[in-house]
Amino acid sequence: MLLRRYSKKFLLYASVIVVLLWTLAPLYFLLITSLKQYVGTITFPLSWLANPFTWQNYAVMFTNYTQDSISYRFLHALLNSLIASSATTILNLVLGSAAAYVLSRARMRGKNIITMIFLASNLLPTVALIIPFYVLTVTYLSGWNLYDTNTLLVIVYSSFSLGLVIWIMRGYFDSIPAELEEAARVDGASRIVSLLRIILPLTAPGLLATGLLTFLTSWDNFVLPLVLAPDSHAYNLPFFIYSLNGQYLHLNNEIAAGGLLSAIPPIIIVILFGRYIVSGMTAGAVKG
Amino acid sequence: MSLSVPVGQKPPHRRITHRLFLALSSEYIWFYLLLIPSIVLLVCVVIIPMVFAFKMSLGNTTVVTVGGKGSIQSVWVGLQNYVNVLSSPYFWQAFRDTVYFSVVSLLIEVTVGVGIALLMNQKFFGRKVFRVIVFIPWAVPTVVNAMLWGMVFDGDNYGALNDLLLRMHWIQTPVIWLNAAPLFQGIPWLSNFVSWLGGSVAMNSMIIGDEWRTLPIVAVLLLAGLQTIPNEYYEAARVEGASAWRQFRAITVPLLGPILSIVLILRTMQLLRAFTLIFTLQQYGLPILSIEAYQQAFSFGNFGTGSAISFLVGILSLLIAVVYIKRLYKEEM
Repeated sequence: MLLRRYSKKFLLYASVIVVLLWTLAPLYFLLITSLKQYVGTITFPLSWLANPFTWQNYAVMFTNYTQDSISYRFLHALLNSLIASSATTILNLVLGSAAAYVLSRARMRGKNIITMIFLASNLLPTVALIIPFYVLTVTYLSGWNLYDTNTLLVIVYSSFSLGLVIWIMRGYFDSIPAELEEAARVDGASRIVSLLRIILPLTAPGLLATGLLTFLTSWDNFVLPLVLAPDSHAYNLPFFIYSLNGQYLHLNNEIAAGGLLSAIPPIIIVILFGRYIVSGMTAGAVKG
Repeated sequence: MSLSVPVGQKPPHRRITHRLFLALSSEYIWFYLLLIPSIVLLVCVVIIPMVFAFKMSLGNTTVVTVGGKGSIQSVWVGLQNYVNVLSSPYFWQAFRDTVYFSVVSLLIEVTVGVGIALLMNQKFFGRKVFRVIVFIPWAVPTVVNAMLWGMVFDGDNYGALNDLLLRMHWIQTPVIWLNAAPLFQGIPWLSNFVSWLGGSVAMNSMIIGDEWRTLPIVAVLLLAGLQTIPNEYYEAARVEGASAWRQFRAITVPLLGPILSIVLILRTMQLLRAFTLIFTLQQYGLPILSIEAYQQAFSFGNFGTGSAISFLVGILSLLIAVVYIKRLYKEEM
């Protein structure tokens, strides 16, 4: 009996350790690679410590700022990623939650159909849209000079977030009883005031979850910058990391450093707010 | 003559202005003002591009660009692009590759993903920290994930995996993990069959690299599902003397079923659009459908064929999306 209990405990902790190894070993490998000199990444046997050690891979991302240097491209990519992801988040939260509110409250024919069309639009594969995006941008809309700009990226990122925002936020609005709003309106508040003062604070967890989800998906986007902004202005961090991968030389240590730097913001978001993101996803996209 | 208008019926124009007046004065104007921007955005970034893609797919379409400006030429060929695509062996190989990639990934998620979720639901020392750590890989950007697994699977002896296996003397020479070589090379018929299905060394490596990043979200969502199962059920089963396996089969599986199927449908659609990992590490070496469409358009310049393939992928994922949405609405009731 005692033996059985201990073997059960042993099995439990053994599986925990296996899962931890599977999760952390690749991250550990990325970290030590980013702290190695180049020679340390191409010798056998490979050193599993940061050996020979250097900070240089991180330093090049921030120093020696001249036209087309690595730090120039990194800092521009970082700025572009921040601008495009934040702008997409704000745009989608404002438009999406306004639409979700209407789709939840209005007595309107076809509002379920509209919601479903929004959700379905979000489920379209990127590849089904990149070709027309590209062709429309460079031909019929070329007079608008949208190619290779953050504006274009923000607009097209929305096609992959707006439906999700509307779907999740509608679930949150549905969960708030209409009586609450009516009570406020009896007391003389207009619809807009009651929306801003009463409803939005109650949906704050939903706004946080959808906002962070939108930010993470935009931050991660690689295909759209690859096709729509590959030249010099609006390229983002994933595209920068991809371009570090030279044709003849794989500077793994620099790629690892750049990769870790670009992974830091999303990792912090997931550590701090992971619970909200999951509850948002289960409340909306995955009803549970 | 105007006397012939029956008494009590307003002339038509007055009814319209009256309704317009009602609409403008009531709160409904706010509703439309709040909804219209999203609909305009949807039309601009989804519906117009889809229609335009369909139009391009009906012609031999070429695009000539210089510095982000260009011109389009399209010669109407009707459904010829679709006929060509659907009769091309490359397309069907890409299709089977995509199915292989999806099915194997989903099998891993059903088994290992559920396993990790069950593990996270156990009581043990450091469980809270464990749940946070397990979630982290999902935050790593896809391109970084691709680069990371490119280093792990490097075919030289200094690739991380080769280094470990060589040190442990499990292999004598480094394995080229990203090579599209067939599996089971000792058994010819099995090897040929698996290659036909889309399996190869490189494909399996891709699946492992992809799962490192996606297992966490699957496991965490399933954990959320597990936590909604009331503990009393398990207590009652224990009182009745049910074994752990019996409890799993009679309580966990049926109650986790709905959320599991929804997670799986969602993942199927994500797998259909998988592009970044394979493109970053393989370029055109593993032509799954999305890669095939991209290559047709952007490296061969066949925008018509590329649009046709991507339109087919779009229809396929919309079909799956319908299953998903039906499931969601059923869950709601």
